[in-house]
Amino acid sequence: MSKAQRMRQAFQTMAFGTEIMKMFVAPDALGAKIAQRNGADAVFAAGYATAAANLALPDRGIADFGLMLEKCRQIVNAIDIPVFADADTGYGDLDNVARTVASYEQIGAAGIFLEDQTWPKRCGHMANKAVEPTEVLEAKIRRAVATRKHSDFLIMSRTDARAVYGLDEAIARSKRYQAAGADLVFIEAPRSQAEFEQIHAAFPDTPLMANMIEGGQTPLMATQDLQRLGFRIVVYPTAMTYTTAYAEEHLVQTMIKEGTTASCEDQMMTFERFNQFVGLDDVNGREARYAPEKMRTELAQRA
Amino acid sequence: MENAPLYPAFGSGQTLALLRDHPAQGFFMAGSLAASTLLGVRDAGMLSCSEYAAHLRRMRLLTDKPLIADLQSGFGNPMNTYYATQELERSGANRLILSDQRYPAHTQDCPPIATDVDFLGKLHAALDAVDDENTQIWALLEGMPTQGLEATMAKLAWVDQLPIGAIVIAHWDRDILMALTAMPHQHRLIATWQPNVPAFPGIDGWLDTGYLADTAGNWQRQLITNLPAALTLPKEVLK
Repeated sequence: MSKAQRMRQAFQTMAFGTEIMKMFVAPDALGAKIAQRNGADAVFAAGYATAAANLALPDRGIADFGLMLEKCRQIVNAIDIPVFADADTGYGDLDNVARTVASYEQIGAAGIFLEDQTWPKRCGHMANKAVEPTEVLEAKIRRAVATRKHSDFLIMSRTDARAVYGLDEAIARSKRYQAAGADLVFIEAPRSQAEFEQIHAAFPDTPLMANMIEGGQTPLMATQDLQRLGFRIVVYPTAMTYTTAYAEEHLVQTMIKEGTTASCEDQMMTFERFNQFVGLDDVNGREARYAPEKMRTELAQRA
Repeated sequence: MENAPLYPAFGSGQTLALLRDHPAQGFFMAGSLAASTLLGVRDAGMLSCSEYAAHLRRMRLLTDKPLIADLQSGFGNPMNTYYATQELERSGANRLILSDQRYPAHTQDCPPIATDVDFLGKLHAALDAVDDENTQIWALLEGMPTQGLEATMAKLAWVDQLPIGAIVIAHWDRDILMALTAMPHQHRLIATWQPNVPAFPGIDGWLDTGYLADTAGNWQRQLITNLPAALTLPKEVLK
């Protein structure tokens, strides 16, 4: 079984299981490895973090398909837990959606979500969002389902209609998206615990995702509380980005002020530990495995 | 084998899109042709693995038939070969051709050849890196012009002992093929192909290296001579 198959199956098992899946958005492959090594169940390659880490720009529809796909691919290759992908609006019309699905499936993602915002989209917790008519994402989901080669490459619908038309409309849209073939449902930016309860009541048997963004429209809730409310996936989309930015800002300020990074050393991984973390021993071991003296001996035996 | 399959070569999406309904058993994305498409230079050695792999991923979406990828000389030492193999396999390669050229593997008639020690290390690294049991490593022997027949026969003998999928012979002539096919071997022998090459006993497959691109290039060169640099208004219009 290929790694891609294993990852898809693992993600599906977790999504339809009983325990809530803890999914971190990683800005890059290094962040993804940190998430894996420290207990994340899955990693999400998503727009806010990708735009920030690669473009130093906000999540406003500037990070395009090519950048998003490549970043996701790097993350997939760096870790051994499933990677779910933010495919935004599918980057165009139905033909673009087909290419998007085929490409993410090819690189080994466990699934994608497609959303109903107008393009250029924006972070789900930013003001002035606009959504397409429901038919648009319905058609995209149908096309996505028809395009995927493996039924365990999961398609999640995301609606941003809560901010535009209210929760009832967001739920109604999500029901249509589910009927169009969405395996998982994500209603972006509910405003209260009561709204989470309402969402679960509307989709009692469907894996639901909750998005915990610090400073966003949704109150931060503990993982166990979300599980109790019936949610199967919780994602932390900005925490690693904000933490990295905070730490790096502090570091540079200290360096400029003090002329040395010495006072920050206790807040860093050490040279030794970092090299171990990124697998220096593995790479060196791999190289040693094909060392000339070993190959010379083998050739002599084969002669 | 009565029918020895021919694996057409391509370097561009345009060519593969035209080829995909051809009854070939697989298509070869030659590094030289990919470099020609992406860089305008027909030299595989100018492309990095990541550039080639990105192109391969896009080509992968065009066909479900086996794609034969150009692993060149492993893009460095055996360690690089290991990671390059991973990268090309997950980019959609079903067969990966590892050349015995020295790195960087430039496209040329008399390529410098790596030591057997280096090539063996790279073959092991490529074999170790494969994830899917159906993915094959093919060994490409290019040493004929510089090392001669005897050295190539000796190399074929030990390469044939490895769990690879095929051995590809380049820079051959009829006498060379006769000598190599007469050797005891367990793996398929594939020879590089040029137009008008007849089937040869003992050769189990043929690897095109650019027939379509060469032919199209010749046509384009002819057409370019007829391509005006500007359009001139007729004199009567100017009056």
